[in-house]
Amino acid sequence: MRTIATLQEPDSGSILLGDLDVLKDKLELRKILGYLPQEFGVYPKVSAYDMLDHIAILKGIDKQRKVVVEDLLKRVNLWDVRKKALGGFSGGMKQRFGIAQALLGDPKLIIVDEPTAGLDPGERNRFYNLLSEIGEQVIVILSTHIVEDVKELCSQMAIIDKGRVLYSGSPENALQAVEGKIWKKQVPKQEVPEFSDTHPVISTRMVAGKPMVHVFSNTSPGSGFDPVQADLEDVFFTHIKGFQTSTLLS
Amino acid sequence: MFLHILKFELRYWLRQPIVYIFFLINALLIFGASSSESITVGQRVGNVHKNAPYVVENFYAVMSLIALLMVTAFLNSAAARDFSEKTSQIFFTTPIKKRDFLFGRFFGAIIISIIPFLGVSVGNLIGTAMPWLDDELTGPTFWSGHFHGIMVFAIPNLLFAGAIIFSIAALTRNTILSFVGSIGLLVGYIISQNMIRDIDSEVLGAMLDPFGMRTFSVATKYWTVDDRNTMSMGFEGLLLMNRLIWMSVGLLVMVFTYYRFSFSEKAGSSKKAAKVDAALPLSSARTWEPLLSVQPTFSTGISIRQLLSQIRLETISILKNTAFLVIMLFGAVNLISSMSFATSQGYGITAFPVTYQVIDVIEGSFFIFLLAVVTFYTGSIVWKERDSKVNDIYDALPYSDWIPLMSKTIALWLVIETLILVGCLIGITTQLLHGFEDIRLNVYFVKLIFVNGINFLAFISLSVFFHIMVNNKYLGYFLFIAFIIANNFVWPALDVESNLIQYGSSPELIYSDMNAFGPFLKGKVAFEFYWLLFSLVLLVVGLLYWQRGRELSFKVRTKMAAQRFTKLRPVFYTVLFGWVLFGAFLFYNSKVLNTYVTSKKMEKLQSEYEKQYKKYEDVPQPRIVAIEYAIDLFPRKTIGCFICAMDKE
Repeated sequence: MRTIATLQEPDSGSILLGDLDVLKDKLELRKILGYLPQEFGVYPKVSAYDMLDHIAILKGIDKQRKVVVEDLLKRVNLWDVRKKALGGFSGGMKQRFGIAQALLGDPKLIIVDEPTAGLDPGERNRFYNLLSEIGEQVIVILSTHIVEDVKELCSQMAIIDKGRVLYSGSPENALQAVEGKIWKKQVPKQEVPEFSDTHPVISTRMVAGKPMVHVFSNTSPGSGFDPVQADLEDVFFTHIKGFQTSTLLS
Repeated sequence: MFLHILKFELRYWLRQPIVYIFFLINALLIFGASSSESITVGQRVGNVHKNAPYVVENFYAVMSLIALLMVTAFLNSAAARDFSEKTSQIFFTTPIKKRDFLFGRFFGAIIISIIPFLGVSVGNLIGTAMPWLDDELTGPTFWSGHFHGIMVFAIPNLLFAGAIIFSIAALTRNTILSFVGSIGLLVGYIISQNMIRDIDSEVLGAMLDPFGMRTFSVATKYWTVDDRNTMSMGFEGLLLMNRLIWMSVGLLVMVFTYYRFSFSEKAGSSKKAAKVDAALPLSSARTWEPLLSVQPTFSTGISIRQLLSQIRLETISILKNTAFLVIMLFGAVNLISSMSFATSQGYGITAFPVTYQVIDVIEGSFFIFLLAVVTFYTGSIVWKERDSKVNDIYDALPYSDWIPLMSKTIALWLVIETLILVGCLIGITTQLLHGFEDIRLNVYFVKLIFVNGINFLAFISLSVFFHIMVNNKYLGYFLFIAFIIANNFVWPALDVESNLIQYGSSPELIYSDMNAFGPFLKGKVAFEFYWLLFSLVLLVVGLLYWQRGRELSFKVRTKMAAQRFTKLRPVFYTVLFGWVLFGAFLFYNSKVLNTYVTSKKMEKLQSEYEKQYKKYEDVPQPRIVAIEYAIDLFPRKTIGCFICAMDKE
């Protein structure tokens, strides 16, 4: 994501957005980019308004600046604290500020890295609604650890593990590929390690205090296993654990 | 328990870089004062050895005033850390005793506060060992001066002033108030000492100085140069009495603090501490509507707006910084206390505080602090985005590469110009306080704001350049400081004294009441312009290597620099050729049209002259018995006639 956001040089390869060669003409990409990094800080002694106003100038917004900045501050609900120094902001407020600056200036390409960290569930929903709405007109690239979000939001997804792309395609296709191949069984706690050695276990989660094991298998692995309606988390673990590589598009 | 708290305090501080930074600042300051004539700390040393025990002890006395604001940071934090870090509720519910807590913290911080003081000894020892100092300027090392400096001045002054600062912080639980307190202590000290100056009784005056500086100068008044070179003063006589009096005052303050201090929270104080997030409910019920549509523009106009906005942000960030204010206070204190030299010519002769004298004092005692600001804040400003971790957001914004570099350089320069202006105001105030009204504003402007202003810009650019190229904050600091020292001392040692080579140097600008700037201004400005051109070359190269994004390796940055160079080629060659051409012009003027003799060469010429004409020493010489002058002065022309008639007896 950093490479797309012009912050890092790739070891090899190229990035094209339409006719734009991103690696050659970084400034042109920056002009249409809205970027929210995963981790970012703030200038502790500058107020939210001043900072957003300054970023607006850097984004090339001049005449409409006041209107746009005020609108965004209201949207992310930082209007009441716009004159407070950013250093006093809580994690969630900082995140909202980050969202506001990423949306400044009508970006045509939005890159958001873990954007909902620190937001409460209601805000997360509202932000996702906005993103999917924006996503109808512009490109949105989103990374998340909350796997179910992907199904709600994304038309295209990729699974990346340790720098390698394990899957890329639509969430629906990914689900179809594992449909009917995921099985679950409740296993006593002390037997889990042994069970994992003998079965293709993709994940273990606790259900009502007891381990529930998900297993990947084309056919029923035996008695006591129930078929599961696969979700994206199963897809994720299937790929991460290396049980399925056939759908990899390259 | 007392020992445990004391040790914990020591361990805590030994891990804090600020302790060592203060140590380094003091060491550098004393290094400068010990190894060069242009930097003064306290009074001028005169013909006493630069490492004489008297001088070292005096450094310790003066530094207890300057270091006051440094140790405030330690004592303040030792007393009020638990309130500002919000650990008070955990810590104060443990069964520790008030006595152990207060005195453990206090003495821990006092012991740590001695570390920055040791910079005096280190700075003096290293400074006086530098090869460019004449052998006659230094003598053998007397450890007694160092020992007495610490025992008689550093520690007692810490106990007195430290107790007051600690007490304010512990009782008010407010970190700002104790800083205000220490500044108040300084200002009060300076004012009271001016009043005491008029007291007839020397002994009373000596007793009333809580830092013992006056006591020291009274007690050593009749010391000869030889005494000063070999002796220092321990706890004896007046000094002993003074130290006992003021340490007791410190002790009383601590006793008072002990009785007034309480572990329990003050009622109502917790309400105030609520942060902004508590005041803010979760997001309003509003649903997201489509964003307003805006049309960003990227014209030259917006670039200039971006530059101005960035300059504004950078300037404010420096001016609002606490460390900056502290450095500036040191500077102002040193300048104000040096201002008395503007009216004193030594040997009890007083002079009018004419503008060029005052300017000399400002250059001598204030500029070292400005250089400190340049050193410290170029690093801070170049690394600002990365230090606050906003670099990912920033670097991806659509501004041109030159904007951060230019805005940072200009912002720092504006700050320096502002500070020079403050120095001018202090100078003018001094003149007015002495009832001297012939204030030459134009001299202030030309010498300080214009000529020195450009000179500082050259050094700012150099420091920015270092920080960009080495891409490591601390290495950048180190290189710049090392360069400044080398630049000042290595060239003369190599017998290279050309203003075209020694970075930032230019001919002297001498102002006199009769001649004004005479013929000197033209050459001065020309050389400043030469260095300005060179710093532009540095800035353009810096711009090529300006880091945007996360690439750290020099190889990748060079590749990106090459990419940028295709666009910057005309600019680069313009400034480079401009600098070379102008340098050639200056070379022609200073080396071809005029003869240029280095001081070593001059010395050689003199000795040859002596050898050649020594033999005529005893030959009878004409002697002047009467002089008849006919003098015509032409101030606008530099032509003089001196007709002299001699009679041979």
